[in-house]
Amino acid sequence: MTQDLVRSSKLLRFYPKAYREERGEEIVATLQEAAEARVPRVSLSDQISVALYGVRVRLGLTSETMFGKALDIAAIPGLVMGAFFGVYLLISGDLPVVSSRFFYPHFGPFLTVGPLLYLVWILGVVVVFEWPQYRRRVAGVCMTLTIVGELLAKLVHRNPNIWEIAILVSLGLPSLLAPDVYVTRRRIIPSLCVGLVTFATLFFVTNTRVNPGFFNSFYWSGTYEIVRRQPYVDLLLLALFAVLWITKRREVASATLILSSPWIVVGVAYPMSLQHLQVDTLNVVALIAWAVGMACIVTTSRYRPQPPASVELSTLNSG
Amino acid sequence: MIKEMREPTFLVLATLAEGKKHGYAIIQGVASLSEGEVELKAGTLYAMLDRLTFDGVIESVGDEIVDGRLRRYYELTSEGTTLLSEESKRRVKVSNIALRRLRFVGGFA
Repeated sequence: MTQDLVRSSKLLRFYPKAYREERGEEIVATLQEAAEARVPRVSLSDQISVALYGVRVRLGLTSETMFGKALDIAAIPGLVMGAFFGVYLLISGDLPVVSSRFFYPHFGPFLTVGPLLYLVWILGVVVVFEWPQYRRRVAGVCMTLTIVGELLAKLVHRNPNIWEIAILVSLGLPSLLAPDVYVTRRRIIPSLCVGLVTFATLFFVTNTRVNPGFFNSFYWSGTYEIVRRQPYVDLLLLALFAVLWITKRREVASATLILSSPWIVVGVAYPMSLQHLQVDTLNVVALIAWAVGMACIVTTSRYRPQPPASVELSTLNSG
Repeated sequence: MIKEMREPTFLVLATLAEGKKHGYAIIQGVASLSEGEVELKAGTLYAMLDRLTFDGVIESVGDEIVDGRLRRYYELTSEGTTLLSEESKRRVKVSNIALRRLRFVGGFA
């Protein structure tokens, strides 16, 4: 066995066992033939493409699986949700000048990178509406800049809110992980509706009786309201998922669950990180239900061996 | 089922219109048809073959061992043939309109 063949065979480790057994030998043979025709060894780009596809098959992120289809549906609405969340944070967390010895503005009113990050997400949405085929790149740029911006913000400000950033970054994940399909549908109206609903829900969750009409940053002054109200939002999202699932709109249902993920997860994780807050039981119930739903989606998207080919090996060999 | 067809998919189907082919022969066929413009990577090819097989556009029609290497052959299904035929006609129609318009404005001899 040549070194090149060994290298090619090692790439198959990225694939699930069933896929490896079914297609592995064929893929290695194709790599070998391609290598012989071009250069004396398998090209790096071929190796990378085979490895990446292996990871996708292993994670069920191909265009044939429910997970892949759901990510495709959730991709652009996720970015739009992120942009609307950015607008919300701008209005609630960055614009109002808050002078309090108890609370620090998360980024401060235009003092640091917050508004620039939100602008990146808004521009990102404009770009994907015009060129939906670039959604993965756009999501990558938005997520990277948000993480880098967060690190910078930590240098100049002592209290940036990690949970808000976590939500914002997660909303780009569907675009980043969605399979390579020919994206032509921009879904502008449905995506904008998702964004507007997000905005309205955030207002409902964080608007307090103490400060009526004043926007509170999601995980800041509205903290107590989150514990009180977010469970209802979580349960509403899960009910929507259940209705869509039962009515056989399972890909849309799965997309709904994927887009609900950051809110449901952070809804439990955030109060847990604070000593003065208790985690609401309903939030935990929602988290468990979410985890079960996600497990269903991932399990049904696992690679399953194909039925055997209609013509057997001997037929072609004899011909 | 495929709603819109992008160039690499069209080229793969056009390559298979010639008859059954194995993985590397498809890569060669696509490169040849596109005059070297489209060079399919192995990972991209298998993602495409899986998707097209799932959509019922192509099917695996058997294996062969050549020089100790496994070759799996693929060919168009009847659905795939219809799809390729419709897409080709659509492309010809659009191209003809474009050429007529170019002649009209004197942009094409």
